[in-house]
Amino acid sequence: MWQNWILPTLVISHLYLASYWVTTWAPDFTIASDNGVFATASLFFMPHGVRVIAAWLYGWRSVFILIPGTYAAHFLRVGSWSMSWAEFIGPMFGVSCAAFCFWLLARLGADWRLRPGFVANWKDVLLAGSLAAVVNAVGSNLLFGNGWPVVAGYFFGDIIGMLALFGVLMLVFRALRMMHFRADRGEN
Amino acid sequence: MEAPKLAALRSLLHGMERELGLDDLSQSQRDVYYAASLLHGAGEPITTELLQTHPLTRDIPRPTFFRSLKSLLDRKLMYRSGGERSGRYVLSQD
Repeated sequence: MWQNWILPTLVISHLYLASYWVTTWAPDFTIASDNGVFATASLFFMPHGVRVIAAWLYGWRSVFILIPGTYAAHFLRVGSWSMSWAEFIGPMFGVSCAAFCFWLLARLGADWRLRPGFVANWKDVLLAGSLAAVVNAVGSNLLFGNGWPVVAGYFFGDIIGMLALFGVLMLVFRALRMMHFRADRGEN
Repeated sequence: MEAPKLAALRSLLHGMERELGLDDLSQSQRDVYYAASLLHGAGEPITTELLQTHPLTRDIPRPTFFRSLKSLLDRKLMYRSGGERSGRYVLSQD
């Protein structure tokens, strides 16, 4: 229970929340949607990268692992737990997209999911994440009744954010490796 | 996150770092490592002699070759197989 659910949920949801917090500082744009409601799309949505990594590591389980983080992010954004029906369903849809795309690609013969003895190439994982960005952008548009400019904003925001998150994690792991390497050599 | 998942993520991102040319290996270190990988892939033993005569590494000056090999061992990208002077190596599984 601890290894399979609680620990991954704590780590992934915190990573989601931290990346969402970074996103709040990034540029976004707000536009009036077809339904007359103003919609906002972040142009640097790093949490999409977290969704992709979680889906790659945990498959469908990632949906449940990510849910606490997504609703905590909602609280961070609006300062209240109350939400509309669309705001309740929206995050569920968002966190399901990446797991769905990995599953769909596997059904089509490109199984890039993590499994014993197989670690996918990073480009394949990013490709699956890009497909998830398309599904999320179009699906969220249907769900919220937003216009195509917001869909495009969602798409580019997810892609840019995902690339940024992968880049940041790569540099973090590199820095950790270099620290260990220097420690092994007895350097300060 | 459990250790195998973390190791898989680390491996994925290390691959990204390598392919983007951001890893901290010099060209000669990279050539020695690639030669060792090719020998391993061909099912041949990774020995000092085979490494030195490999098409990727035979033009590397001898002192540079041994410095590169030592660096790969220090970084734990390769390990000695057998004794200190056996001249046989294995690749790290990372």
